[in-house]
Amino acid sequence: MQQKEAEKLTIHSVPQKELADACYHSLGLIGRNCEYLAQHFAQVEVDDQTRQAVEDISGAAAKLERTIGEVLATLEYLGAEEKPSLHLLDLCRLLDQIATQADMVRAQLGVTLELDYGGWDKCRVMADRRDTELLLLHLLSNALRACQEGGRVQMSLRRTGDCWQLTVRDDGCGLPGDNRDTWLENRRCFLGGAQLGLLLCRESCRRMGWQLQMEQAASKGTQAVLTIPVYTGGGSGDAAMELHSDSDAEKTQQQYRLRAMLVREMRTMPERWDPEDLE
Amino acid sequence: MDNEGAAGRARIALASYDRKELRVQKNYLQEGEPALDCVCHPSGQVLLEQLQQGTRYDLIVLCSQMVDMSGEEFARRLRRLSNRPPLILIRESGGNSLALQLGADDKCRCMERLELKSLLGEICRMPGQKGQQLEQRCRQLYESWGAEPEDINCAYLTDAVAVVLGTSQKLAIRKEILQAVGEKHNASVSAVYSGIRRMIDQLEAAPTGAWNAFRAENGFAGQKPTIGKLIYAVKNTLLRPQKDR
Repeated sequence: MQQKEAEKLTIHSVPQKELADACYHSLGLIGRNCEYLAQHFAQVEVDDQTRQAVEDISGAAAKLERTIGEVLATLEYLGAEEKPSLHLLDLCRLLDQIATQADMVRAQLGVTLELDYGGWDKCRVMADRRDTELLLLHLLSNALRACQEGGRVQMSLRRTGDCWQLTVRDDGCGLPGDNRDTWLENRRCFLGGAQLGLLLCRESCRRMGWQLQMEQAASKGTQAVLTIPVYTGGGSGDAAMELHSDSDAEKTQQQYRLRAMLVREMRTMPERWDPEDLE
Repeated sequence: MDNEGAAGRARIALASYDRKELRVQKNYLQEGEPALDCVCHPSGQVLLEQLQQGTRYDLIVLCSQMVDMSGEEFARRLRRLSNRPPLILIRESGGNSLALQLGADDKCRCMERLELKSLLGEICRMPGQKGQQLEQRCRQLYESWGAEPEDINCAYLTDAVAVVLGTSQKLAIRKEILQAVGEKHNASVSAVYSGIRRMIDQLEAAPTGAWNAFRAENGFAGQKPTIGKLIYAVKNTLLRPQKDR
C-alpha cells in the first residue's frame, strides 16, 4: 500500500482486501510448500513422523484459513453501512449442490448427509448468495463436527404459511446443557474454535431478514432452524436475473467453489483419538 | 540419577486437547533429549487422578486447554495436591496476566507462545530436573580437570552446555549460545566469551591428566580448543554413557 493511502486509514477503515491478500498469500505459501513436500516424499525415503508433521502443518493452515475467513467476514459485517442487496435464489438448487458432496463427507467422516425437500422442487427466497453459502456451510460444519463416525445429518425443507423452514439436524453431541457429560461431549467437539461461526450465522440472517434458532433435537443431537420469508414477487428488479441467468459455466463454478469450501472445512474437523495412539 | 524413573528417563506429562500439538511436542522433546519419556494426556481429570494415585511425573507441560477443563482450572486443582510436580503452562496469549492470577511460583510457570527449543531448554533448567543433574555432572568434570567449579567462568560454560543440550540444531556461538548465557547472568556476550576463554587458558597452563584425556577423546589432543569446540565436547561427554567415560 502506498504511503498516501496508508495515511488515510483509520481504525474504522481497515483495508480488508490488503489484509486478506497478505494472510492468504502466506497461507498459500504454507500450503504449496506442503504440497511440494508431499510430492517430494514420493521420491525420497521419509519416516512416518515427518509425513505426519507435514500433514499437521497443512491441517493447522486450513484451520487458520477458516479463522481468518471468519475474522474478515466479521470485519466486513461490522463495516457494512447498508444491508446487502438481495436477489432471488432457489434454495433447492443450492442444497442440491451441497448434497453432491455427500459421498465425500461419508468417505472422510463416516457421516451420512441426507436431504429432504418435503415434496418441493423449488424454494425461491430473497437472499445474498455468498451470505447464504457461508451460513449453510457453517451450519453443516457444526452438525458434522458434532457427529461421531456413523452419525447422520439431515437437511430438511418445509413450508409453514408465509415462511420456509430449513432445518439442519444432527444426531451428535447436542447442546452443552447443564449436564456435565453433555457439556464435556460438546466441548470435545468444538474446543479450539474462535467462536465466531454462530455469531456470523446470526449476523447473516439479520442482514437478510431471516431467523435462526438453535435447539436440542427431539431424540439426540442439535437442530438449527432457519426461518426464511417466502418470496411473494416484486422486490429487486434484477431478482429474476439471479435465478435464471446462471449459465452452465457459472453453475460449474459455483459447484467447484462450494466443494472447495467444504473440502477446506473437512480439514478443520477435530481428530477423534485415543491418547494411547501417542504412546 | 535422582530425578529419573526406573527406566532411567525423566517423565514428562504433556497435556492438551489437541492431538497435533501433543504429537509435535512429544516428537521434538524426545528426539532432542532422548532421556525424556513424554506421556500424552488429553484429560485433566485423568492426569489429576493419576497424580493422586501416586503416578510419578517429573514435570507437567500444559497448553491452555484440555478436553475437560481449562489450563487455569487444572493449575488450581494441581496446587491442592501434595508433592505436585512442577508445571509449565503455555498460553497463546495473556501469559503474564495468567501468571499474576495464578500466583505463579517456582513450581508453576506461565509462558507465552513458547518455542519448542525454549521449552526443551526450560525443561533442562527446571529446579530439580535435568538442570541440577547437569550442574552436578559438569562440576565433577571440572573438578577432574583441576578447575574450581564455583568460579563464574565454570558457570558460564555449564549454562552454555545447557543451551546446546536443549536442541539438536547447531547454534551460533555468540548470537545464540553466549547471548543466552549472558542474559541469564546479566553479563555481556564479550564478558561470557572472555570468561570461558580464561578458563581454557588456565586449564592449558597446567593441564591435568583428565583434561588431556578429555581433549584426546574429543579430537583436539595437543591443541587449545576453541570455545565452540569446548562447549560441544562437554555436551558429547555428558551424553556418553557413564561407563564409556
